[in-house]
Amino acid sequence: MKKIIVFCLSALYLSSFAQTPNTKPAPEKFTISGYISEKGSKELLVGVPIYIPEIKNGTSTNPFGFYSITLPAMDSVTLMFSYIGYAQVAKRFKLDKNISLNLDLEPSAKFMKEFEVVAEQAAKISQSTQMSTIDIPIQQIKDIPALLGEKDVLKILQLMPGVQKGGEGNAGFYVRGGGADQNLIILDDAPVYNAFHLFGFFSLFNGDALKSVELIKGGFPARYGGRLSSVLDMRMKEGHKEKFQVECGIGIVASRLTVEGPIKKGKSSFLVSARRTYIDALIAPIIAASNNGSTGGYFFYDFNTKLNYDFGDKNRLYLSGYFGKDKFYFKEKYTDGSFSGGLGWGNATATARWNHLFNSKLFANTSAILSDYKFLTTVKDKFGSNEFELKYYSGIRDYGVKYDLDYRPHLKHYIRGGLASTYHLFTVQALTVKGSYSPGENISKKTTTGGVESAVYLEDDYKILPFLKTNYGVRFSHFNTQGKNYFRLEPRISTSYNIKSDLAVKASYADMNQYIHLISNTGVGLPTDLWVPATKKLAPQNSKQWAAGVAKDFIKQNLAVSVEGYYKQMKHVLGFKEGASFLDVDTEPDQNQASGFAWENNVTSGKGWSYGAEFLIQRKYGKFSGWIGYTLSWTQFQFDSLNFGKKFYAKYDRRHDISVVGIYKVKKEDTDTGEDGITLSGTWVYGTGNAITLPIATYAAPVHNPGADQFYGFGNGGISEYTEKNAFRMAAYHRLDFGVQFHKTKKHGVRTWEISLYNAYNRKNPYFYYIGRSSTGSSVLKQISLFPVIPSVSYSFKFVKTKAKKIEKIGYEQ
Amino acid sequence: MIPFLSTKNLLMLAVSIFMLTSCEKDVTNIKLPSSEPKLVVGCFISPQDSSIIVTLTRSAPVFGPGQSNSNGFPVEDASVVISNGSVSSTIPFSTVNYQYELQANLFPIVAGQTYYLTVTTPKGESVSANCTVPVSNLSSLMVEFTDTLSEVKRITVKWQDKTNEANYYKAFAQMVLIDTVSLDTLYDYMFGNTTLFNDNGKDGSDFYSKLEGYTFFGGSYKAITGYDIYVLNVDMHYYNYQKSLDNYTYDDPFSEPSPIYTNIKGGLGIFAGFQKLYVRVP
Repeated sequence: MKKIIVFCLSALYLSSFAQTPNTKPAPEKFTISGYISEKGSKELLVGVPIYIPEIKNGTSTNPFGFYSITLPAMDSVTLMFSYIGYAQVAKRFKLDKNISLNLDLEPSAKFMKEFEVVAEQAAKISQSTQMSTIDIPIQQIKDIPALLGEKDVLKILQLMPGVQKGGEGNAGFYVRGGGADQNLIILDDAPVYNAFHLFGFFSLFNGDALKSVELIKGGFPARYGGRLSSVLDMRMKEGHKEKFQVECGIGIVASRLTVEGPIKKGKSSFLVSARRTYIDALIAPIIAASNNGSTGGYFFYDFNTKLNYDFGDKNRLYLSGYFGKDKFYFKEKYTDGSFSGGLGWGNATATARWNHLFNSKLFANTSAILSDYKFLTTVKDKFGSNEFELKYYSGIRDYGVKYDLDYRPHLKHYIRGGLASTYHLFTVQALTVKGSYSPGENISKKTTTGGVESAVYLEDDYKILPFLKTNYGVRFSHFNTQGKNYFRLEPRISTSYNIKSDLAVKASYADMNQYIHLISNTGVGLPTDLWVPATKKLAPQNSKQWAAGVAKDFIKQNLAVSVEGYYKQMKHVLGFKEGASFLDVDTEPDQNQASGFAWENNVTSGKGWSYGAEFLIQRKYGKFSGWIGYTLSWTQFQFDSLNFGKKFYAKYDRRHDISVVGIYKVKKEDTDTGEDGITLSGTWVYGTGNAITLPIATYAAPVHNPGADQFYGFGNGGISEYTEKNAFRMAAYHRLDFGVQFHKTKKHGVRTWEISLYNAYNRKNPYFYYIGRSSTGSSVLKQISLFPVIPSVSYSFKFVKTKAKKIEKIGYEQ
Repeated sequence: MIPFLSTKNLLMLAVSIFMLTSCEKDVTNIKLPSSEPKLVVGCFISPQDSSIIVTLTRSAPVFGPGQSNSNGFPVEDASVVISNGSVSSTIPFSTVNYQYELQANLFPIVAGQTYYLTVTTPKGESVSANCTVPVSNLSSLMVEFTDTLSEVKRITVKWQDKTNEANYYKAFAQMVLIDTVSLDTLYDYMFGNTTLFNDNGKDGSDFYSKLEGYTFFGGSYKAITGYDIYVLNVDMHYYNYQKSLDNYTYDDPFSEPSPIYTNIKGGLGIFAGFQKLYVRVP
C-alpha cells in the first residue's frame, strides 16, 4: 500500500516537468532572491508572504528569512511584501536579469488602507496549502491575559481548536487525541523533552526571546517526523543588529530580563534572555505555619542565548542555547534529626547552524544539535548518628545533525530535501544509596540504553494550477537499538483547491512514526515521567491521519473561518500495566522478568483512534481581534491487557472544547509606534471533564493461607472495586480570564502595567477526586482544586529609542 | 523495595505541601455511580487439603442507597454447590469458623479435573466460577539456611520447574515457634520479595525464593522448633489473583487504579486450584 502511494507521488512529481512540444523557444528565466529582515534590528523574518499580482501567484520566506522566485523575463513585475505587524512594501521593476533583493520591513501596528485588499490576498488563510496549522503572531501572545502575568506561548496554543491542555494543573498539551509525548517541540531545531515548569503552570518558552511559533496538527510535510501528533516549531530572535535593547518585566511570580544588541554592527548580534521565579516567597509563609525550622519552596529559571554572525549573503552562522531548571525542595527538622530532599528537572539545548547559499535557487542549512533533559530526586534522612542518602535520576540526551536543502527551480515547485540523524542516550535509572538502616545496603546502579534515529526526506510544494496546489513527499525513517533495526516509510500528501479566491477546500494524509515514548505512571503528567526508546520487544508507535477541511476568508469583515475534520489511527501505543510502577526501587533482580529492562515488563501496547471536527473563526489583526474555537472529538484505546481487552476512553478524551478569545485595543494618542494606549483582553475556556476510574465498592479480598490448619483469613477489607477503566467523567472545566494593559511611551522606552484576573468567577475546577468521609460517617466524593481566582499585577519596560514617525507614503519604486 | 522512600511517596509529599493553598470541597455537581453489593467468594482447592473451604462475604458500595462502610461479614444463608461436571455436592455453612466447609473424602479433589462452583442466595443473587486443578505436583524441594541469627531467620527455598507445561508457583513458609512458658505452638509467617513465579521463558530451570522471618512474636522472643515450607503449583487464576493482590496500590491520585483479578462471574473474589508440596524442616 505504501509502495503504491510512493510510486504515485513520484509519478505526479515527474509528470509536472513534462514539456508539451511547441514551436516557440521557452522564454529565458531569471531569479529574484534575497533575505527579508526587520528594519533596525535586522531580525530575519520567517514566512513573509510575497505576492506577484501579474501572475496571481506568490511564495514566502523560509525559516531563515530567505526567498527565491524564478520567472520568465517580464517588462514589469511587482513584488508585494505583506507581513502582519509590519508596513507593506511593494517593489516594481523590469525582470531582464537575475536580481538580488534584500529588504527591510518596518514594524508598524498601523494598517495601510491602500493595500488592505491586496495584502489580504497574500496572507490569506485560504491560500496556504498547509492545512491544520496554527501560526500565532508573537504580538498577539503579548496581548492575551495569562496566569499571574506570564505570557505563555504554549498556553495560547491550548486556546486553539484541536489543542487541549490536560486539565487543571496538568502539564502537557494534547493535539487531536494524541498523548503528551506525541508532540515534537523544537526550539531552533533542538527538541525539548519537557516543555513545562511547575506541573504545567508555565511553559519553558520566554515570549520575549521568540520570533516565530508554528504548530502543525495534521498534514505534516515530510521534513518533520519523529512524533505522531504535532510539530511545534519555534524560532528564537537573533538579536538587534544595530543597537542595544533592553526589556525587563516584573510579575508576581517571575521576573524577566532580555538584553540584545550588536557585537559588530550590521554583521553580528547577540540576545540573552533570563527569567526566574520567586514563588518560594509565596509558599514560605504557609510552610512556616507548620514549622520548627522546617522549610520548603520551589523555584524555576530559564536562560535563552543566541549569537549570530553574518559572513555575507552566502554564509551565516547561528548559535543558540537554552538552559532551564525547576527545583522543589523541602526540609523537616525533628528534635533528633532532619528529613530533607528535593525534586528537580531541567532541560538544556544547544544548536549551531550554518546557512549556505549555493546560488540564488539553492539554499542549505546544516545544524548540529544537543539536547539534554534530566529529572532528579534526592532524599537525605538524618536520625541520631545514622545518615541515609538517596539520589535517583533519569533522563535523555540527544546528539544530532541535520542537513536541509531548499531548492526553488521556478515558482511552480518548491523542493525541500534533507537528512537527519540523532543519537539518543537514555538514562532509564541511575540510583545511588548511601548509609542505611541495615548495613551492607549501599547501592550504586545505572541503567542506560541508546538508540540512533535517522531519516531522509524529499518533499515538493507543487502549484499544479493557480487554484490547485499540493505538498507531497516521503520520509524514510530508521531506528537502531539493541542490535535491532526498524525501517519505516512515511508518505505524506496535502492538497488545496481554491473554489474561489477566498474559499478553499483542503485534504491531507500523513503517516508518522515515533521511536521514543514517554511513560507516565501517574497519568497526571508529572516530571517523574520517563522517556524510553522502542526496543527489540516494543515496536515503534505509528499513526495514520486523514484530514479534510474548508477555509473561507471574509475579507470585508476581516474574518477567517475554517472547519476541519480528522481521523487518526494509532498503533503500538504504550500504556502502563495495571498496578505496575517503575518508581519502586528493587534491590534484587526480578526473577519473573525473562529479559530486558524492568520498565518493559511494566508496559503494554495497544491501539488508539481519535476523530473529530474543529471550527475556528478568527480575526488576526485590527482594533478588535481574537477568535472562537470549538472542537468536538473522541479518543479511545484498546489494549489486550487493560480493561479486560475492552475499548476505553483516554483520560484526556475531551468531547467538547471551547475557547473564546477577544482583544480590544484603545489608542490614546495617534502615534505611529502604536504603543500608547490600553489593551483589554479576555478569554473563556470550556472543556468536558477528564475520564477517570473511580472506586465503587470496597470488599475483603480472600487471602490464601496454605499453612494454618484449614483456616483462611477474611483478607483485606480495604480492597476497592472500580468502574470500568476511565468510565467516569469529572466535572467540566471552565474559566474566565481578564486583563488590562496600559502602555505609555516614556523618555527612554515604553512601559506597560498589566492588571489581570485569572479565573474571574472563581470556578473550582477539580484537580483530582478522592473518597472521603462526611460528618455522618458515610462516604462522599471530594475534590481538590488548585487555582481559585488569582489577581495579579505586573510591570514591564522596554528600553527603546522612541521618536515620532511620519507616516511615509508607500509608492512603487523603480 | 526501600520502604516509604519511594519517589512516588516523595512526590505526594511535595504536592501535598504545595496544595496547602488549594481548596477542597464535596462534589455535588455530577451524578455518582451507585451499585449493588456483590458476593465475594474465596475458594482454593487442592487434592492435598483435607477439606474444601469457601468464604463468602459481600462488597460494600461507596455511593448510592446501598452505601455501606462495612464489608467482610460472612454470608450465612447461601447455597454453595461444587461440581465436577457430573457429580455435585452442597457445601454447608459451619458456625465454627464462619465459612462453608466440606470434608475432602465426601468430594475428593482430583488433579487435572475442572470444577464448577455455584453460589446462590435467598435474596436472588447468583454467581459462578470454574477452575482446573494443575495436573502435576512437585516431587522435591530444597531449603538452604542463609542466616540463622537468633532474631532473624533467613532461608532460601529452591525447586525445579516441571518441563513442557506452563507452570505458576507460590512459595510460602512459616516458622513453627514454641512459647516456652505456655507451651503453645505458634506459626509465624515469613516474608519474601518474590514469592510468586511463572515459568514463561524459563521452562525447566531452577527457581528460588528468599524468605525471612522474625522470632519476636507476641511480645517476646520465641524458640524455633522447625519450619513449614510449602511450594504450590498453582493455576492461572491463582497466579493472576495473587499478582494483582501483591501489586495492589491503594487509592492515590498519582497511580492508575489496579483492580484485583476475579474469575467469579457476577461477583468478586477467586476460585482457584493448586497442588501442594509440604515439607517440615527442623
